[in-house]
Amino acid sequence: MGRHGMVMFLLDVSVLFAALNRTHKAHQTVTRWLASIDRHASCGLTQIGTFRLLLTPTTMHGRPMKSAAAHEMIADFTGCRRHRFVACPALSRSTVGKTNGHNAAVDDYLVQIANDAGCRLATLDRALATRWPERTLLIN
Amino acid sequence: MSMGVDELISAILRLPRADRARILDALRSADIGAANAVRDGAATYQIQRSEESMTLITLPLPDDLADRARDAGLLASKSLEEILRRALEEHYAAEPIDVAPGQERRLVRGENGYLVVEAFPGEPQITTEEVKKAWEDMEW
Repeated sequence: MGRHGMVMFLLDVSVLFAALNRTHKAHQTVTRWLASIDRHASCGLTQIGTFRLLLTPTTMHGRPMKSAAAHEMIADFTGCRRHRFVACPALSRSTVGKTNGHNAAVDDYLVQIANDAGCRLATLDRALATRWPERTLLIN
Repeated sequence: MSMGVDELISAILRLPRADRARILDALRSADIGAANAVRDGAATYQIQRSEESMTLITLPLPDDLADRARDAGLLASKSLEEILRRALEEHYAAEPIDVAPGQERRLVRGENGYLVVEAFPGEPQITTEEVKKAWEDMEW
């Protein structure tokens, strides 16, 4: 059992992208953290978000991945026995209903998805972790 | 087979990290005489370190490598290593380019056992802030 006990973490896009990409500054940090926990999760939103980033020239320094390779990588990661796929529920009043501006809307929805699935949202985004300290974990 | 210097560099970049290191070792040891031997003798260039009993590298090189290199001024005053290093630096300082055959990113097994995308040698790291901006700038 890892130092976080049996808590399951929904990996937000920043974490999933860093986990899969050795170019990311936080790749080693995220890799070590993933090895320390028991269970992690993704949802359709975080998978497609990461997939799009892998195909985006700016985030891949002009050499984006091909869709088949990006899919293979995400499928490989999410196919491990410690991983679970969680569904995206309808928007809740208590999280998305209180969101502050359009940029925070998706992040707050991820917090809701994690909470509804009994997870904490793991993120590299300090602002998001500060906004939801009880429902997130900042990896640093 | 005939390859230009830029194609040789592209071919080297496609190799696994350990193979690239061996080739740089080979290039470090290469000199004008060896290149001429390639031109005069064969299309295969072998290097054997005196302190080791086995042949480390067999590099199939283009027949006219020496002529091409001499025409380009590569064998005049600079080592091949210096030329290649400078070419690689220029390669990574260049503006982003579209993916071309042979420039696809490689998938490798990471420390935790899942597939990750390999960084190119010398490629700058991407930060969480850059990823966050790309995520926020995405069109839905």
